[in-house]
Amino acid sequence: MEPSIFNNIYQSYWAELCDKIRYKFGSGPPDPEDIAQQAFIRFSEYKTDKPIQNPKALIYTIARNLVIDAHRSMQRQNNMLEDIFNELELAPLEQISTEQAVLEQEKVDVVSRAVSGLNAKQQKLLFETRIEGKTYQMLSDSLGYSVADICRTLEKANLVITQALMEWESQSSSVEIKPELSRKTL
Amino acid sequence: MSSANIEQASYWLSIIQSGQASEQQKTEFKQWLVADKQHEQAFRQVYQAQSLTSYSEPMADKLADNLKSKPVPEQSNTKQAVAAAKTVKSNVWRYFSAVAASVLLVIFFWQTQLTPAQPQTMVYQAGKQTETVHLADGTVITLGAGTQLSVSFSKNSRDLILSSGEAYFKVAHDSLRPFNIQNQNALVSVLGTEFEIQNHDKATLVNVQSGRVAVTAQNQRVEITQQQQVVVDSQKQLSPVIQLEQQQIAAWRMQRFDFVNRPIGELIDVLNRYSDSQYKLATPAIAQQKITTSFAISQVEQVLNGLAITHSIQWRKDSQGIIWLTM
Repeated sequence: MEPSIFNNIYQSYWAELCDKIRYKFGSGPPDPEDIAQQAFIRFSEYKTDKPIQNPKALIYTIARNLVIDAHRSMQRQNNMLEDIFNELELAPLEQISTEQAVLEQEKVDVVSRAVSGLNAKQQKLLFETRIEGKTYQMLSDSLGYSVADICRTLEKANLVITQALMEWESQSSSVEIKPELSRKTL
Repeated sequence: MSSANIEQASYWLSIIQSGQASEQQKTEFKQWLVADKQHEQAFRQVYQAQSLTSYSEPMADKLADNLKSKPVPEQSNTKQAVAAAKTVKSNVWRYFSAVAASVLLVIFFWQTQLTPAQPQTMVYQAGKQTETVHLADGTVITLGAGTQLSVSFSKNSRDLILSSGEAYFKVAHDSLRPFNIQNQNALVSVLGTEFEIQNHDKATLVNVQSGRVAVTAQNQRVEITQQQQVVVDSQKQLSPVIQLEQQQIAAWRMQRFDFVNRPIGELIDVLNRYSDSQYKLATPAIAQQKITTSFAISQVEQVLNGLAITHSIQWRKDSQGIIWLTM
C-alpha cells in the first residue's frame, strides 16, 4: 500500500475510529487506542487482489474483530476435537482468525444474518459459548437449562447457520460460472 | 453435500463441545468421522460456520451490551506498563509516518508539546524484512522481521519496550540517561554498548557484542560482557552466562539463523516472520523438541528435510500453501 494513501486514511480516520470503538465497546480494556493502532497495522499488512472499496469500513471491521478476540475465551472443548483429528490422522480443523474473518467478510455477513434470525435462547447460548467461553455445565448451572437441552439448542443453531452458508456458497458458485457475467467482469 | 450429513455433523459437534461426551459417544463419533469422506467434509463445514459466528454482527452487539454493563477490571502489570508508555497520547498532537512503499515499517509518533520534561513515545513495527532505525540520541537499532518496539525518551532515561521479535542495539553513550529495554521477562540496562535481544514465547535471549549489559529478572541480576549470552525463561529465571561464537550474534541481520539447542517452536516462529510461507505444527509436541542448526533463509527446505532425518518430523504443503510439520 502506498504510504501516502495510508497516511491520508490514518490522519483522517484515527480519531473517528477511536471514538467509534469507545462508543461501541466502552473505554476498555482493551484501550480503544491500542485497538485502533493494531487495526491500522493489520490494515497496512492487508493483502488482497481486489481494490478496497471502503477502507474505513474495513479498518473498523478489523478493529471490531480485535475487540472480540481480546474478550473471547479459548474454546476448551476444541482441544478434544483437535486430539480426535490428530488421533485419526486427519488434517487439523481450520481455525478462523481475525484476518481470515476479514478476508471472508461476505461469509461473515451471511452468518450474521443467520444468527440474527435465531431465537433469543439460541443467540444467548451461542454468545455464552463462543464469546464468553462458558461450558455447557456452567450454562446449565446459571441458566437452569439441562445440558441435553443446551446441546439440542446449539445443534439446531449450528445447523441453521451452516445451511445458510452452504446456500450462499452454492448461489455464489452458480453465479460465477455464468459466461455472460464473466465477460461483464472483464 | 447431503443435508443428512450436515445434520449429523451438527449433532456430533454439539455433543463433543458439551464436554460431557461419554467414551462410547467419542468412539461412535470417530467411527462416523472416518466412515465416509463426506462425513469429514460435513463436519468441517459445520465447524467453519460455527467459528465464523464469533465475528458476526449480533455477537459483537451482545459483547458491546455486556461490556457496557460490566465494571471495568483493574489493568494487569503489563497493560499498565504499556499504558504508562503511552500516557503522552491524550494531551498531545499526533502524526503518523510510513516509510518506503516496499518496506513495511510502520512508525507511530505521539509527540509532546515539546516541553523537555515530557517524554515522546514512538512505536516501530517491522514488516517481513529487517529494518534499521536511527534514534535522536544517535543509537542505531536493527529490527528483525515482525519486531515491535516502542521508544520513549525523557530527560533522565531512555526507555524501550520490546513487545515481540528481536533487535540489535548499537547504543549511543550517554552517562546521564541509561538505556533500558523491558520485555515480558527481563529488564536490560546499559549506558553505551552493542548487543541484541531475542524475544521468544518461552524465553528471552540477550547477547552482547561489546561493552557491558545488566540483565534483571525478578530479584536476580547478572552483568554480561563481550561475546556472552544469558537466557531468561518464562518463569523469569536467569541461565548461567554462556560464552558465544562471534558469528552467532544477530546473524538474522544477514538473513542467517543459528539455533543451539533451542526449541523447534522458536524455529517455526522465525520462519513465519522471515519467509513468505506460513508454517504450522500439526503435532503440537514438536514445538518443545530441541534443535541445533545454522542456515540462511534461502535454505529453509533443506532445514525441513533435515528435520525428517534428525527428528523424524515430516512436512507437507497443503492446498492453501501452508506448510505443516507432523510426526
